[in-house]
Amino acid sequence: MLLNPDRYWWLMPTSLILAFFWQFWPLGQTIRQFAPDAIVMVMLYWALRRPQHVSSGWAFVIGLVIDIAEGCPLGVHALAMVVIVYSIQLMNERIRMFAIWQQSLVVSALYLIYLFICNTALLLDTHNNSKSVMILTAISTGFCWPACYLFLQWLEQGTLRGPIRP
Amino acid sequence: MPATLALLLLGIGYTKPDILTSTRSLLTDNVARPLYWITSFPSRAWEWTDDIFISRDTLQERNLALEHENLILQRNVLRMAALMAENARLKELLNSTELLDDSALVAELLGASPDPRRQEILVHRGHADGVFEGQPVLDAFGLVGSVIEVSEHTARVLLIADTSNAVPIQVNRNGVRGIAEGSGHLDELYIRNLVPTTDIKEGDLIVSSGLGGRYPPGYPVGEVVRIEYEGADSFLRVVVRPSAHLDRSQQLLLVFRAEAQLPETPTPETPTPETQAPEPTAPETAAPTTGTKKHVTKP
Repeated sequence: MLLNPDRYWWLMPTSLILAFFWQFWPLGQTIRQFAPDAIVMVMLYWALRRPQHVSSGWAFVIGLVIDIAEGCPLGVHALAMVVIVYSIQLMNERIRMFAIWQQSLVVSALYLIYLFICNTALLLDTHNNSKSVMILTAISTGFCWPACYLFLQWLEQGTLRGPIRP
Repeated sequence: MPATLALLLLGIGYTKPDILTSTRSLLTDNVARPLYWITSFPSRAWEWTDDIFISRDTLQERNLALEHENLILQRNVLRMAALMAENARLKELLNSTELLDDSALVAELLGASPDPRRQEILVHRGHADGVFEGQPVLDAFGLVGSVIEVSEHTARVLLIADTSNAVPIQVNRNGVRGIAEGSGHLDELYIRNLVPTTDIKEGDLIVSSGLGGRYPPGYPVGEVVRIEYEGADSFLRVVVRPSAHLDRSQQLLLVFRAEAQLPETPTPETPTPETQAPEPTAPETAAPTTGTKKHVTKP
């Protein structure tokens, strides 16, 4: 049973703030390479579940906040975030039908695209450290997607059913 | 539409960065600072509870340890005063500029960039406190980096371990010069392209040489941990472990250089730029860890 989405308007900002908590938690650079990207996961979840609420404009704003906080040139993460949120909106109907492990693969692929755009945009930047390719983050993000999905779905709807098929 | 905006921002950022500077510093102050402040809340709360529920015994113990440490440091300061006076006299004899003392400002760490591509931290001081771009930053153990971006209340510090950073250094033991480049990892710096006959050993203390004018001379940068030499290469690669606690220090020092050190060069007669300065390596009278370093005498 779908609950009234308006009663859960607070869940979206709260989950995003928690994701920022996780992302900016001082973990240390070695562990950080294995850690999943919570902001991307949460953005993708909401873009998937509530495409009418998460526009690419919001993705731009969130990406810009990441840029400012990380000290990148403005627009790097904004562009990448806009692209992946837009593409998940394009494929929304299809991906919602997928089993959760298939969604994991899609999320991993989208995260690779996100990384690719970030790295390409950062090519001109002077602080380019070619050593950390951050591929591991894509794998762990895909790996943690089911947990993230089920947790957010539980908070949102009180069920642990996974993707709902009509 | 947002994608176009992002591309536009990127383009402006790369071609004409000056346009975005004020926006950036405004956003850093108003977005990044609260963000780091909020996200560091759990650790601050933990520290706070730790402070509140600390036992009397622990406090007394710590007080005692600090008093002992203070005594030792006092002694070092006494000795340093004498050594500085001596140094100034010797420099007068050599007709070089006088050694001036740097002043420093304590800054609190606000947060570190989570991106493994960049080794940067944000500190809680900005324009309002007189921080300027290019200002060197230290912690209690050595050189940390330099300020690359200043906002009203925050400053972004590029660590010496960042791949885009390089510190002119010299070996404390004998004054061999070199340039330490960041490796992208917090625990390593590289000194590349040294001739294999260079006198450098594992365990050597590396200090900043002050050449180039960005970093002040005489602060410890690191310690040589490994010297790599591949047979095919005709150069050494020296691996240095930074002495500053780049990943742990909470309090940092922003150094204000004594003004007269650079501008007031007493018009050298010989225009040869320090090629003839083979480091008059004064015998190591000073303990290398006190930071009193014989400077490269500039003509």
